[in-house]
Amino acid sequence: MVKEKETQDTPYQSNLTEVNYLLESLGNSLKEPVMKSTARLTILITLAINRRLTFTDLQKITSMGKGSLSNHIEKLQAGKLVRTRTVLSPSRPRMIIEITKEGLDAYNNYIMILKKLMFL
Amino acid sequence: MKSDELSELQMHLRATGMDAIMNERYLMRRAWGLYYGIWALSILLFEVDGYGIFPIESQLIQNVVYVSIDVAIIAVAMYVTSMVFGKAKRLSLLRRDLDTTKRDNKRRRKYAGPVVFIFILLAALIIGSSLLRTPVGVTLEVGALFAVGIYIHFTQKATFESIPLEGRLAVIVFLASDLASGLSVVLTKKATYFGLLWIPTIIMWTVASFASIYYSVDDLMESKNQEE
Repeated sequence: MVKEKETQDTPYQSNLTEVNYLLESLGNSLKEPVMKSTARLTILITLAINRRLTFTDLQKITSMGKGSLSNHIEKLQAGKLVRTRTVLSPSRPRMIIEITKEGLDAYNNYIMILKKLMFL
Repeated sequence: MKSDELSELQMHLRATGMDAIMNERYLMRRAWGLYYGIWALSILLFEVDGYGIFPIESQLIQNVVYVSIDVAIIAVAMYVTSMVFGKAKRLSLLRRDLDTTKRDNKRRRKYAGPVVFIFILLAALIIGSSLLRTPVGVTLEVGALFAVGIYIHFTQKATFESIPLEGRLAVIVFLASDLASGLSVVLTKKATYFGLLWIPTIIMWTVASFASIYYSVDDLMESKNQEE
């Protein structure tokens, strides 16, 4: 029994279990499987570094169309990873996209997965 | 999950992270442009704010206005500094996490270094300023500002894979102004030229600010071309 328990808890298996758990959690937050997520993950990483960006800047660096970016932001907002607000500027109102605490947690999950994968 | 699926996952996550880092160069160069600009303005205001309030007769009001202006300048400059350095720190941490050859655990100690650095720096500047005309004061002031220059250089290095030309020149001119102003006080025993020797830094940082913002668009184009 003890021997069986020891084999179950090898570092490899424990890391693998944790990676699976983190992947599922990150996928749930992104509202799509991590392996299929490039745009939303890029937006999340960019916002984790910058904390907040205007819609225009995000559009420039991701090269996405307005509709596509809005759609991704809506999904991220539904997962509570980002929040948006509109601020007035001299030329026109600007939409600001900010990462939330949940968003930072999801980003930390991404980093944890990367780290765990190095040991697998 | 099979081993080929794991390596595919790792490749996908790393590629996404690397793309985000590549795009970041445009935003970071622009942020550094704001940093050079706000500090060029701050150094200029430090130099001229005394002249601006000279006509005020009351010594007390003069002092209050003088201190208020300096505190306001410092507050805005420090806000921009913390924003730029914070982004640089987070970017360098991500770059390290994506580097498969490094497995250290320095992430948790990320705030200790900058906090100790800023504390020592402020202490040296405050003590140095009050003793500016003494050799000890000059050494402290010049030493603290030299450390700032070196810190800026390493933060730039953490931000960019290759530091843009305006960034290199900004640090070189800053260090030269620092050493020259310190030497001028030591040699002449007066602080007459101290302010004047910071003018090249004001000019260089203003140029660097415009250059960073102007050429950041090129970085954006370049990263898009590389992606394609």
